[in-house]
Amino acid sequence: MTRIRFNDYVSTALILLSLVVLIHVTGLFSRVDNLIFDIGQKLHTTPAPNDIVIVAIDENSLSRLGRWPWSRQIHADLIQRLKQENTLAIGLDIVFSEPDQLNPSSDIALAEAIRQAGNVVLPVLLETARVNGQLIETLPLPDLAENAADLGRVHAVLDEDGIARSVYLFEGIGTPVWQHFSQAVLNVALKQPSKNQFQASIFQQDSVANSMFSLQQQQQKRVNFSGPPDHFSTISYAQVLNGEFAEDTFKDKIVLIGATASGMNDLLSTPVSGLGQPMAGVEFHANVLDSMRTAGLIDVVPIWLSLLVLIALALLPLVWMPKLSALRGLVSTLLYFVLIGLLATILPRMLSIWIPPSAALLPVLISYPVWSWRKLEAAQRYLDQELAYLKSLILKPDAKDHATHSYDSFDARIEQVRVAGQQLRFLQNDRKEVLAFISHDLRAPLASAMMVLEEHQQLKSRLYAPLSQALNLAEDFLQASRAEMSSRADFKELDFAGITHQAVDDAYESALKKNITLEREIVDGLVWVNGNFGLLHRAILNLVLNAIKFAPEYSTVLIQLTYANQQAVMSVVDYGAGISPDEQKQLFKRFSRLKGGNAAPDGAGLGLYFVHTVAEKHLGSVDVDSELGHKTSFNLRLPVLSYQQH
Amino acid sequence: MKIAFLEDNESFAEDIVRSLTAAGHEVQHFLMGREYLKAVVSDKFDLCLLDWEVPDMSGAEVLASLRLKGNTPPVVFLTGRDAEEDIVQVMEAGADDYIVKPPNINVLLARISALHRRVNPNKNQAESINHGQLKIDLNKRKFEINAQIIKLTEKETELALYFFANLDVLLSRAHLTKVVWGTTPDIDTRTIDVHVSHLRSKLKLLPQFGWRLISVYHQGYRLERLV
Repeated sequence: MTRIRFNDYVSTALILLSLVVLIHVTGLFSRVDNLIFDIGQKLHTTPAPNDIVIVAIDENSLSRLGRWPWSRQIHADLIQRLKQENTLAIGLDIVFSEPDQLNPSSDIALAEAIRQAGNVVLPVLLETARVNGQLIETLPLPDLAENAADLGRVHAVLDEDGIARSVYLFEGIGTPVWQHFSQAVLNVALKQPSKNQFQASIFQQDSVANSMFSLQQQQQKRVNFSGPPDHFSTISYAQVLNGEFAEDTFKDKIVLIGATASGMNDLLSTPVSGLGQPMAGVEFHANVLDSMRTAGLIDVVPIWLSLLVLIALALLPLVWMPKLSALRGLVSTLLYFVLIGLLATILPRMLSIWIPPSAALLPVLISYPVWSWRKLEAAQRYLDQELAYLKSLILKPDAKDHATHSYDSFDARIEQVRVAGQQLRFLQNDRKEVLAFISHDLRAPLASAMMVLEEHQQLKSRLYAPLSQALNLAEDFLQASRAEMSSRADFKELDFAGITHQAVDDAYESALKKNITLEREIVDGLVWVNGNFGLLHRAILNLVLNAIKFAPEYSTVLIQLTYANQQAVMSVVDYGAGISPDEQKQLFKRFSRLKGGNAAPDGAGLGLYFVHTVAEKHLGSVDVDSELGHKTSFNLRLPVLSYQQH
Repeated sequence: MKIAFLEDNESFAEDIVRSLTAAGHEVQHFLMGREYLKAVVSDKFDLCLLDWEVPDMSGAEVLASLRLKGNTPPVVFLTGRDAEEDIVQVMEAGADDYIVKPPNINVLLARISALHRRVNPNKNQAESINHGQLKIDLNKRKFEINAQIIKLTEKETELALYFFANLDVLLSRAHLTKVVWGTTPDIDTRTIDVHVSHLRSKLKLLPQFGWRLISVYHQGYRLERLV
């Protein structure tokens, strides 16, 4: 629809743009965003890293070692055994907050084992107390904490749908001082200093309850999950304790020790969890750790940047939609919708960034209807305009009553156009009938009468002039109408030089009667043009006969045909009275008759109008040069397909 | 010559019959297509002259029926419409020639005798043509203008001789292609135009020299010898 205005374009864009901003800023469709994120995590998994081993406190271990909690001596034994295996780092995801009153030696043994191992990371808890909503920071026992290689906060952020997708890099009460537990394990494995932001003295305090401070969290990042639950290599705690493992199972590996047994309340729903298949907290940490060191955790893009990207994505269909047909526009927009969804799922894996796509998806989905609506409005405006015009032109009075009903629907407008179209076809048929009438029923009897006149010399002198004038009028009218109605679809490849020769041949007798010499300067070759033989022949003949009419007796009429630069110029030059500039302007108009000279007005004044129409139909032109009292030159210019010299 | 004439306009038919009879032809006039067809099939005519529009049949129908009976004389149509599409329609139907109504009697007579000559070639035909400045030796296939020999190519010569042997006859492009180029496949549609253009230029086939070589709406050609 070329009639759609710039305004319709802008209004569509504005509607889509405000939708993007509204959806993105309010997070209206965050569940859709999360769903797409989860699909991406499920679709794009990576092989489990072979240097991370989970030691699982599973049902097997519980049945072999007794009910939880176990004596800390058992953990000390495990750490000692792992120490002999030369592990890279050990993340012990078990909270040791209260001293063992019954068996204080076990605490000492565990502290000693941790000290000897030198690469054990212990967890810190930040919890809201159930009773009064106080925030409680729970540290390991001071002995253990001092011997630990590093400390980190264990936590996963649960979104409003209860699914763990992200972690905070730093958290703390009052100030975000604690690094994440996985970060701590990674520090030890890579032999980096701790990222905790405080002095060691804080370890001296037992548990700190700072109700006056709220929980401070910094740098929320989404996790790239390596795979579904049970993706990482896992070995039962009891097996490790009893030495039931192959050699090098733990050499230079990162070992994470934690509960996986379902009764131990340490299970999370994750994007990669299927139904009823939650992920153990320890495996979540394994995923966080792996994500941190490989592609990095996923950054949530700053809002100004994501808005910019989303707006660009949402408005892009406006570039191609106006150029496509309705069906293609619809299909391409739907394909584009799917493409954006796919892109959003791949982005976290490829670039470790996340842009919630819903703010672009919804506008893209409705961009087609919105655009169509604007287009329809534009179409209606145009239809109303055209209808009003058509009505004023062609509708008959009795049809007018029917037509003046207000156009309240599109169907009504279409009906109006149909009626108008019908009227136009009727008019066209009328015109054809008139043409046929002139061609056959008017011209033929006139010509017959002329034929009969030849045998009656007496009558001829009186009737010949008016009869031939009437015949010429009919002839001119017929030819002009033919030229107007000709269609380029019926044009053929023709030799313009041959047609010129033939037209000059046909004018020979008329020239002879006035003792005029027809001089030809026609290129020696074939000038191929795309055209209608009858019209071109007639146009040249009109020009030549015109020249003969206005040329003095015993003079010369020159017919030139030249070819240059893909253009043919056919000129007819007579050395007669010439045409004044004022008259020149009127020449090619309908019903314009030349005055003066010795010309009798024996035609309808359509001869040059015919030439003009034929020239235009052939994508050419006709013009006139004249010097009063000296000469006149009519030039017919046509585009040429090719020139072929003799 | 015995001519079968079909025309429903009686006063117009009267004029034509009078003119043809005056020129020495034997004309039988019919008003309806069916009786015309019956007569042409049962009797022998030298030429069929008929109106393109008759009340009971269309010109194309009459022509198709004639052709179906086989061995028919040449057919000339009289047509009231001279638009290109009308002429093309007449020629595509297989007419040998057409004349726009009302006919110039001299032209009509010339066309009739040209077609008659074509169908009944004279045994002792002239061996040379000498008109205007052009001199043609038909046996030796030689062309001269003012005693100057004009060089023509093989195909040009064949095309020229065919034109001169069929003066005043409308020769369709398809027919000329078949006669001059025979079975040569894939003749470019431009080929005939190029040869005709050469002939006009080399043999000076122009009215001031007594000749006119015309294209009929790009459908066919006719070489006319002017008096």
